[in-house]
Parts: sequence; C-alpha cells; structure tokens
Amino acid sequence: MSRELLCVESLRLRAGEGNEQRSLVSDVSFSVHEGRVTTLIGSSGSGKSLSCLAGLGLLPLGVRRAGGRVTLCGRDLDGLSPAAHRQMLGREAALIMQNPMSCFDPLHTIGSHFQETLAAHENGRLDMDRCTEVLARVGFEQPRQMLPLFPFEMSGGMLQRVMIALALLLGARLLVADEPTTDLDVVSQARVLDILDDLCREQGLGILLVTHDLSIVARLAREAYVMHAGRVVEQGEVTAIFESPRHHVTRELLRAHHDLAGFAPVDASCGAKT
Amino acid sequence: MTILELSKVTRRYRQGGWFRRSRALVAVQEVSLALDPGCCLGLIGRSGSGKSTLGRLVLGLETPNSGAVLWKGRDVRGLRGPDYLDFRRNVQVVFQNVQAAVNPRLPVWKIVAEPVENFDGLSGAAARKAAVALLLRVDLREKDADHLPHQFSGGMLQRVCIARALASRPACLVLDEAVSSLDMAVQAQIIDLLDEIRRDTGAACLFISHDIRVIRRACDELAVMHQGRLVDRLPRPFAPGPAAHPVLSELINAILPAAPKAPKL
Repeated sequence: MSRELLCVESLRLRAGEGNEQRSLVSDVSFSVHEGRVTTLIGSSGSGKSLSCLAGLGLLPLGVRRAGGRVTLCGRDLDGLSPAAHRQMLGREAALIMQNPMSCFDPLHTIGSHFQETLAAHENGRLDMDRCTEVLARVGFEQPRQMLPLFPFEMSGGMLQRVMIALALLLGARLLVADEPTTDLDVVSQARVLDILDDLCREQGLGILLVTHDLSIVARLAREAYVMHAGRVVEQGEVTAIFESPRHHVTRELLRAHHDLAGFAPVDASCGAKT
Repeated sequence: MTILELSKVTRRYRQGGWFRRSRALVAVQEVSLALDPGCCLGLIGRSGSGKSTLGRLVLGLETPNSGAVLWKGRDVRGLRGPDYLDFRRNVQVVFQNVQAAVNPRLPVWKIVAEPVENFDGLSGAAARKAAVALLLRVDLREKDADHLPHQFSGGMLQRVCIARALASRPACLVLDEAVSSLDMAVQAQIIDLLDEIRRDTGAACLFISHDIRVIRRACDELAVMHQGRLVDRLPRPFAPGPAAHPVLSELINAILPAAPKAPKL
C-alpha cells in the first residue's frame, strides 16, 4: 500500500454567522495516495474546489471548517502552528491553479518567481541548477532560456508548466491541481496532462485533481469522488464509475459527457457520426 | 445571399518596445470568408492563432489594416447614420468570460433590456416585458429577472448573455468560445439552445472554439486558422482527408479519450 499523503475525514464547511449560516460542504471524506491521481468530479458549485482547499488548510475568508479532520502528510492540520503549516505548504504539498495567465506577477521574470519561492522557504539564493532541473522535468528543452522571460512572453500552456515546475521546486510529494487545464487549448491541455501523468507514474507523486471534464478523468485518474451539492455521492475506481455508475448524478454527468465527447481521437473515424 | 463578408482582411498589432523598436505582429492575414443566413461556420485553431481577432473584425470592434469587412456588400468603415445602426443591430456577440461581460450592478432584466431600449426605443415596463420574454426564451424563469449577475452560475449567466445578444434580433451572431468555460452538461445545453435559436431566427453564426467536439456538434462548416491565416476548410461531416492541414490533425489528436482505457496491471 502506497503512502497516504492527504486524508480528509467527514469534512464540514460553513459560511456566514448566526442565522445567516450556510452549509457548503457536509460529510466529505477522501484520501490521496502516492503514485495515484485522485479526482473530485462534479458540476460547478458542488463544493469540489472548497474541499480541496480545505485539504491544504487554505480556506478562503469567511468559510470555516465546522467539523472533520484533515491529515496532511501524516500530520493533523488542527495541531499545527501557523508557522509549521506554512512550512509544509510548498515542501510537502503544492497547489496548481486554473488561470496561469493571471497567477504570475507581470513585472517579474520567471527567474524571480523561482527566487521568490526559494526565499519564502530557504535562504533565497537563486539556485540555477535546481531551477533548470525542475523546468526540464516539466518538458522544457532549454530551461535556462526560460528564466529571463516575462510571463507575457509565454503562452498559457507554457505558464501552466512553469507553475507545475514551481510546485515541484521544493520537493512537494502532493500536488493539488484545481482545474489545471480549463483555460488551455486542447493541444496544450494534452501536453500538461502528459506531464502530470509522468510525475505521478514515474516519480510517484500523489495528485489531487479537481475537474468537471470527464475526459481528463478518463485520461489520468485512478480513483474518483463524485460530488453534488456539497456531498460525495459516489466514489470508486474510475473504470468502475465509467462502466457502471450507481448514483443518478454520476449517470447524468456521464450522459452529458458522452453526448459531447463521444468522439474517437483517431483521424480515420473522425466524422463517422454526423 | 451572403450578409457579411470578409475580403482579404489583415490586422496587425505593434508589439513591445518604444518608438521604433516595436515589432509588427500579424494577428490575421488576408482572410476571406462569407457568412450566409442560417449557416453556422465553426472557426477552430490553437490559442493565439487569430480566431478572436477575426471575431472582433467581424463585429467591427477592430478595423482591418487592409482588406475590408462588407456588410450586405458595403464596407463597414463607410457606413454612417442609420446604415451603421443597422449593422450594429444585426451583428451581436457572446463572449467566453461571462462574468466580465455583464455589469455586476444591474439586475439581469436591465442587462437584457439595454439593447431593447437602444434599438427599439422601448422603456420602463415595456422594456422589462420584452426583457422577460427574452429570458424565458433562453429557459430562465421570470423570477430570475430581478437577480444580480453574481447570483447566477456560469451557465445561467451565459444564457443571459445570449438573451442580450438576441434582443436586437440580429442576423449574425459571433460566439467567441461561448461554451469553453462551462461544464460539459451545460455546454451541451447551451449548444442545443443556440442551434434552436439559429433555426428559429435564421441568423448566421460564427462559432469560435478550440474544441472540435463542440464545433462538430454545433456547426455546418469548419474553418481552420493557423498563425493568422485560414489554412483549411471542411464541410460536414468534418472528415479530414490526407491533404488536411497538420494543425487540424494536431487538434483532433489532442482530443482526450471519452472513457478510461482498460486498467494497466
């Protein structure tokens, strides 16, 4: 059994005060293991992003954890001091966000983004070899030439790969990817997914992937949790979920998915169905 | 009869640098195409291939550096007064980023009523009545009319944007990645809605997307853009022959599998 990197047990999230309280997520449990991609699936507003942010202890302002336990890399988040928590983020677990175009500071080069990350955790010296090494891991053939570039000089797909490289810089074993390819075109998307697959398969990282696109789930994931209205309605192996979905929400998601995506990715069969 | 036509349109931008150091970036280069009533043309390409610029040229939001956009056979740059109003009224757009496309402080009926007020001269209760009718047309409910944009999900807000685009009864709709940021189930619903509207109104559509699955479902004809040029055109059923442009095969091959492969043991 591979090591468990993240374990969330009966998580409950609430927003608002007093009578205005709303329950956003209730009784959600999931876990992420080394060397596997685990996904949270669901339509917009089903609570998947919040659940994964809660897993890192990074809830947005106004949302609080009303119950449940989160164990990140073997340590209970409740027992951690803020400083210790901060040390874990980046070294043990890292987050990849949806919009690479707006996540980078437009006034700073890629190199100084790397430096900033190093400064936040270590002595802040820009270690060229480490930067080029992680950039090479995400598929840049000439990593050294990327460092002096500004974010606007790169495409969305390249920036998303830089974001993954930044996440890997301090040796995180758990990657939390919240809709990592929604903003990219299909070609860049395939590239980024290949890289995530490699990281997981060959380097044994654990990945928690949040998505609404079932093609991405089919491409990458082994385990899936289907969320609806703040609850997990179905969980299991991805193949099982695709073959015999049990809950009606899952069936509805799959129906919509096959409706639009029932398209064989082979040239010859393109257009077989009009 | 062709209602809107691009003839050898080129659009360049200056990129970077001050004074003379800037470089010219050719976003759209000598593109010619025609939009016929009731026909949906899909425009596909990777990001940065000039699809959106082409859409903006069609809308008259950009002026071409050379070539011309012809509305009913007349150059859009030469339209004045009522002729220009006719063009504006008949060419409408739905953008991808729905949250940014609406005024966050207006209730949705006012958002939809704006073109009604501008083009039909209605106001007050009459404008509201027209707006509510449009909201019903895109499958929203009457009680949604007084809600603010932040109370809607992305898919519902996209319906509001479609209602607004329909308000002036356009003859031509530009859909710039109109479904790309929505989830799968909602994408299919929105495409079906657009299809229905197209059949009802006979409007011409320019459907911009990078996802051939969406194009296949929505469009009659496909045009492929690459580095600012129109490199390939395909009629239904979009079966690329051996002579198809490599970009098209790249876009098709990048489509993810619909179902997981058998588990690797």
